[in-house]
Amino acid sequence: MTENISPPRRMDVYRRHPFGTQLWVGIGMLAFYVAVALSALVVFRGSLGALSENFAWQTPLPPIGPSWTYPFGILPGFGVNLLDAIWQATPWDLAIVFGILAIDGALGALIGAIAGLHEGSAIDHAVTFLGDSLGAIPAVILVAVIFAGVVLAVPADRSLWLFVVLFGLLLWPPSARTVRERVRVLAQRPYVEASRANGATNRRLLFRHLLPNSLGPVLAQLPVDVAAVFFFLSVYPWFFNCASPYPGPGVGYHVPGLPPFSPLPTTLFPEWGFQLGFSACDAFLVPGGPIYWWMFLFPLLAIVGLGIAIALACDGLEKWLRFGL
Amino acid sequence: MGTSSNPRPTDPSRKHARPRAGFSPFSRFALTRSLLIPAQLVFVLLVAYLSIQVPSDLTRYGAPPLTVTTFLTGFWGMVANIFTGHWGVASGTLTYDGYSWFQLYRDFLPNSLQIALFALPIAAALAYVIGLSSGWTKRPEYDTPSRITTLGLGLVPAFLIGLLVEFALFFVFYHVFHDIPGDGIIPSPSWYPNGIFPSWITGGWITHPTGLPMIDGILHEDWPFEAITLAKTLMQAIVVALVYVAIFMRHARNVVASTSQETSITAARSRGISEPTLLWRHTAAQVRPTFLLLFALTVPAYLATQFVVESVFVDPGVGYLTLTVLTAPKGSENLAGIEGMVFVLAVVVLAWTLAVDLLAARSDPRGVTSR
Repeated sequence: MTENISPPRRMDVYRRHPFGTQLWVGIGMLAFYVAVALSALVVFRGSLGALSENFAWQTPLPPIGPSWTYPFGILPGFGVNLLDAIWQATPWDLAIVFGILAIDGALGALIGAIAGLHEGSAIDHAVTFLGDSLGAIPAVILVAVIFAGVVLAVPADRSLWLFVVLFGLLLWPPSARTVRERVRVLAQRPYVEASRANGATNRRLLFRHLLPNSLGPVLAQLPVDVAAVFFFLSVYPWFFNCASPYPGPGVGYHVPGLPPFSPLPTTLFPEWGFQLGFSACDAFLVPGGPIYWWMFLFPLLAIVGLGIAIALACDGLEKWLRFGL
Repeated sequence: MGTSSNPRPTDPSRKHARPRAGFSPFSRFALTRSLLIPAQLVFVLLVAYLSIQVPSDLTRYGAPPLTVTTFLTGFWGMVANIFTGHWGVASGTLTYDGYSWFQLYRDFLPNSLQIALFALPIAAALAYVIGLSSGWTKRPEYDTPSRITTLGLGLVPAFLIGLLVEFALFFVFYHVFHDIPGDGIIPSPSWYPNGIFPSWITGGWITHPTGLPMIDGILHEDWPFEAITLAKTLMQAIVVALVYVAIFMRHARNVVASTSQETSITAARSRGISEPTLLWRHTAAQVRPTFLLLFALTVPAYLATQFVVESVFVDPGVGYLTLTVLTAPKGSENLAGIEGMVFVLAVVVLAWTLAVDLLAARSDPRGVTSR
């Protein structure tokens, strides 16, 4: 006699294992970012892709710091109110980060799980070889190298989306490596063996049993990848604008410039990483001189806040999945 | 027990085991692992060719159409150029225009090596001590806050940390050495009388005869030069080490935490062994191979960190040059420089990974069969 046991419903699972505080805090922070992004879509509609410059602010001496009128101060060079610049950049940065993480996480989980399920096969060897070889170059340099060439063959207005796809495609090896290890172990577990004995196909084993139980490593890796994304977006503008040996614009505040392979279409495109990289030039203008802290602090807080929100959400989700599934 | 039990010595850690004919397991592992390196190098160069040269050729007016023959010829040409040192001539960079990228990389390498020679031991020592202690004291109530703090610090770009350190130490450095900290690894031109470098420093950045500034300073018995170079090297090395340790810690904590819960550690604790002994002797011995592997896995992150820190201090090293070639105008000569840079990086990382892999295999108590 066989007893037909139906799997527990999601709501029942949730009642037994509700979300933890961490997950709720993470979701709350992400909801705040999404609300800011949505409000930017309304407030800056029609000019979302370009910051509004005030030429009088481009070389103010001394630079205008935070005040009641301009709570985040002014960013010279661009000649923009920093609060508006960060607000306007929010929807773009969320789209960039979530786009990259979605491609990176999905690929890492899938490729790693397939390799782990077919341990020792040609697929497994190919995935390991590919991941190890791509890992031979630091991700931020590899993306720059590939993007610098490929962007030549793509229209300028598509370069940002090309960057998102490319970065997502190149970030998968660390996630795949850890997922592969997890799946290798899980594939030997009795419940997987039982399912296999019942005639489950590899695809069912993968999507029903192995992948849902192997998401932990991917969720642990995603917040780390956020750092890589913003490192790329900020380090090249910083270097190009104030540390490179190229001819500079002269004394005083810099005129922002984009490195040759920048994914951003224009210098006035609102993006936190570019703002942080460029503002670091102006904030540390004279060696040994004053540090104009607000110029880099607020873009940095926006980036760190998003990274922490994603980390809390991923950590909380991983704990919930561990007990909930 | 029957006399037929003749254990085959598969584990090299077993003493007095009869050696097996042919290669030992470690030699086999080392051979297989080494044979992968050329294949990986070819793959990386192929990626570089496909992403740099092919799009450039496709968009160039009058370029021949892409066929299997032109592809293979072009790829072979690129590989030949890399190995014969034809890396193109820098253009559009002002300071380095007219120099061959190969020559620049060759001249700048000693500066980077000097920083790495200081940064690596500092980073390794810090990572070992902090990684072990933080994982050992892992408690549920501290776990998430410490993880989030580490991650938050990891989101601060290395150039910002470097700039903050440079500005914080500016006056102290100037007061002690009468030189500015953020201008290369050797004393800046303004430090010398009339701004003229001694004859053994050419171009303002290359020292002779070895190219390693600290060694050359000793050879020429220029002790003020030596003191400034040491201070500048140490400053950069410490910033690199601090940023790298934050990256390393993310992985190390979990390794130590899981090892500390193993039965052998619990058994040792139940025998009354003190906590410091448990940590620094028992746990440390078990996590060392994994730490070595983590060290190999995080090599690219280390290199990226050193590259950025070199750039903050405008140090003529491989990192500064790499960022320069990447942000140079995209003429064919500079593209050839990027291909050369990819080759250098791939060789360094792959060789490092191989060395650490072999070292970890050698020091793993479970032997090479566990890998």
